[in-house]
Parts: sequence; structure tokens; C-alpha cells
Amino acid sequence: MLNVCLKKTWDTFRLDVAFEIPRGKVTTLFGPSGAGKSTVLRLISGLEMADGGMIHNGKEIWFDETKAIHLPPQRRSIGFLFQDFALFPHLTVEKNVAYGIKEKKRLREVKDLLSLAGLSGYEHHYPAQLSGGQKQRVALIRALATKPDLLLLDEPLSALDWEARRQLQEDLKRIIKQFGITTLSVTHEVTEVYKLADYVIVLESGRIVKKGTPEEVFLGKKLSTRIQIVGKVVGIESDFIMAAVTVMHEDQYFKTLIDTEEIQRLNLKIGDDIVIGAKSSDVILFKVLTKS
Amino acid sequence: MNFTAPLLLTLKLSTITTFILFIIGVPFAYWLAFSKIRLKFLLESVVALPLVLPPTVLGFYILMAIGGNSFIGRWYEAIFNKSLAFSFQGLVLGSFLYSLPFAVQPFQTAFLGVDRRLLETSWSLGRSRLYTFFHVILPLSRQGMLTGCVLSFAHTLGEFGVVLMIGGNIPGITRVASVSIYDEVQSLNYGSAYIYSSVLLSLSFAILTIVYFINRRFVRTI
Repeated sequence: MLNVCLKKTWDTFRLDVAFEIPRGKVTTLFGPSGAGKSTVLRLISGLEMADGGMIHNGKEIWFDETKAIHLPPQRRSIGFLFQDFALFPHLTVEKNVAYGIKEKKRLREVKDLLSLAGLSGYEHHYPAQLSGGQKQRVALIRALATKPDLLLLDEPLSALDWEARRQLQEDLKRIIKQFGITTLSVTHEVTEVYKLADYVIVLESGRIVKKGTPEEVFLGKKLSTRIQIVGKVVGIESDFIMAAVTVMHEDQYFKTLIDTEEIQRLNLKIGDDIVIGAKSSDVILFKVLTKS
Repeated sequence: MNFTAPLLLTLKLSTITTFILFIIGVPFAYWLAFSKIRLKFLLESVVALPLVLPPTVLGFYILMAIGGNSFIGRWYEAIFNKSLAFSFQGLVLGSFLYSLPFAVQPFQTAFLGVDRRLLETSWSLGRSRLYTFFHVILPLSRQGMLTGCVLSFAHTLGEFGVVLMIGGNIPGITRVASVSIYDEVQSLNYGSAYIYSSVLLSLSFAILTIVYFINRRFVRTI
């Protein structure tokens, strides 16, 4: 368990958060841009220093303001996956992955890591020769190669197009689960939370407004900033479901881009009752004018 | 022999100066690029001074600093039993200071041009700042390093005022090509002045052409 309590003040922004990161699980910081999500990652990694608080990795102290302890990133046992992957452009895929490995005998593991990420045969390619998705996988296994205690993912899929994103969500999930690594990720997309997260922490304007499992957070009753529409599934197509919205009108179909995986996960069948949650700011309501 | 001596001396001076600038300039530029001390801008201004100062002014101050009455001059004389002013070593020191911005500024710009994310990635992968410098910053600054070295070399090749002020015109010791040109013109030997000038012109042109050519290739490969 990692215990995190961080305070930092800028001119107009104040970050004040306290939370736990359970071992072997994926915890996701979710919130709009400017909420302070990426800053939390940077503070945990040691790339920036908080004004107050502490970060304890079990018995290890990474940061403690009262004890004047601030370990540099090198001594924190972290893997940091940046938004734009940050691959070393002058090093081959193989050397990128091996970059953080200090023991010579462990260099043999690079091959296994590459095959785990479906990158066998790309050992001698340079980052410029890879697709966005491949780059992301290289960055991921590079971060995992040092066997860190904590993996930090900063909007890991945002630099990719929609198609690549779908594929990579799966890869990311598979690889993270395989390693069983404690992960803290950051995203502003609900689908990413559902795909990856075991726990969600909702951050708004530097403060935590909600914590829990994705279901608890997004389907709970205290969705003050969201609206819910209740309806019945009337059709399932390849990548969207059609639902009759019972609380509005029986005949109004609701088309939503929820991919097939999600439909399977929820085991949706025609006739099922569903609840669709949406951010109220994303919904526009029209009043239908009828001729009298 | 007499004719080629100033040219060879010029090349020797440029080579040694560039080498020293590289050895001292790289860590210095790194410090300038990444240090967070507040008064850094003062030091940056000092480094840039030779760009705007008349070489004779710089030469005058260096001469005062290394002359027989100065602390450095006396200290040098006590150790090496000879004067630093009007010696080849004095010329190297003068050239070093005179060409410092031509090396340090491109180095510094190149270091700062390396994407900070890459440095942060390296640190987060457990690598020290020194390791990061040798394995990320230096390889990705090749172009700036090359530019800095070549500019220093070419600049030292063509220096005149500083050399004349602190080295004088001693054949075989401090009489470099640029001083020889002045000397030959004073003696109305235009033929020799032509030859020295054309050699310096060709050399400078060739060096700059190579730099621009290599830079273009770098740009293409990135």
C-alpha cells in the first residue's frame, strides 16, 4: 500500500489530496484537465516537490515534509509512462527497453519483454520507424523492465487515434495484469477508467471529490454533476447499443458508442434495463415543438 | 619554412584552443543550462562579452591580468620560470577566453534543446544525472557540439586583436597567420599577404561548408 498526502500551492491553484494506492491494483485519477492529475503523478515520481505532506511506499519514505525527506526520482522505484512516450530517439527499441536495467544478466529479459509486447523483430528499429501504438508498448515495457514498485501512467492513450487506442487498452490491461504491478494512471476519459481501473479517484480543482470502484463512482446515487437516463436495450450492433429511453419517451432511441467489449462485459441483452450516465455538460436538451 | 610557420602555428593554436574549450566548455555549458542559481544571467553576460567587446579591449585586460606585475603572471613565472605574456601559452589562454562564447553558447543551446521529458524518463528509470548526461544529453546534442567546436576553431583561426595584444609578433612563438598578414602589408609585401589571406579564406570557407553540410544531414536524419 502506498500512502499519499500532498499539498502544493501555486499562484491561483491549490492542490490538497490524500489517498491510498493499493498494491497490485490499478488506481486511476480521473477528472477534467487542469484538475491537477498530472501534477499528482509528478509529485509522486519526485520530478517535482510538494510543499507539504508525505509519500510512504510501505515502510519506505519517499517524501516527508516534516522529516525533510525528498528522495530523487532515481531512488523511488517508479516507472513513468509519459503522454508522448518519450522514447530515446537515438536508441534502438532494444536499447530503449534495456536503458534502466543495471544488472548485466538481466539484459536477457529484454527479449522476453519485447515478445510479451508483441514487438519481436523490432529490436533494431528506431522509435521514428514505429507506429504510435508500438511506441507506447515500447515505453510501457521500458518502464516495467526495471521492476518498479509503482507504475505511473500519464494519459497513456491520449496521443493515439481511436482505433489504436482500442487495441492498446487491451494490451495495456493484459501487460499490467501479467506483471501484477501497482499502477496509478491518469485520464479524463470514462471509457479508459472502465477499461483499466480497479479504483477511481475523482479529482476536481485540486481536490478529491469521490473515490471508489468505477461502478461506485459513476453509477452511485450521488451523481450531482451528471444526469442519468433510464431505458431498455432494444438493439445491439457492432459498436453501439440502442436503448429505448423509458423515462422520456418509449420511441426515442439512444445511440451510444460503447464498444462491443463493454456490451459483453455487462452481458447486455435486448430487453435489459440500463442506466446511461453522462456528464450534464455534454448533453444538450431540445424541446420538441409540435404543431397544434 | 618561415612562410609556413605562421600557418602551422595558427592551426596548432586553433586545435589546442578548441580542445580546451571542449573539455572545459561542455561541463560549464551544462552547468549554465541546468543550474537554477539566480545570478546565472551575470555569468552568461560575462561569457558573451567577447562577442561585443573590441578584441583589443579584451586583449588589454588579459595582458594586464597575465603580465609580469599581475598575480597570475608572477605565479606562472614562479612555477614555469618564464613569462605567460608574449608566450604561446598566453595566446592559448587569450584565445580560450576570446572564443568561449562560440563554444559555450552552442553547447548550452543544444543541451537545453534536448526534450526535458527524455531527461525525466531517464531519471525515473533510475539513472543518475551524470549517466543521463552521457547517454541522453550528449548524443542528442551532437549537432550543437559540432557547431560549437567548429565555430571556436574557425574563430581562433581568424583572431587578430587579442593575439597581437597579448602575444605580440614573435616569429615561431606568437606570430600567427593573421598577424603575419598585417606584418606583410606593413612591409608592402602584398604577394605574401595575398597567400596568407587566401589560405585563411579557403580554410574558413571549407570549415563552414562542412558544418552546414553536416547540419543539413542531421536535420534530414531527424
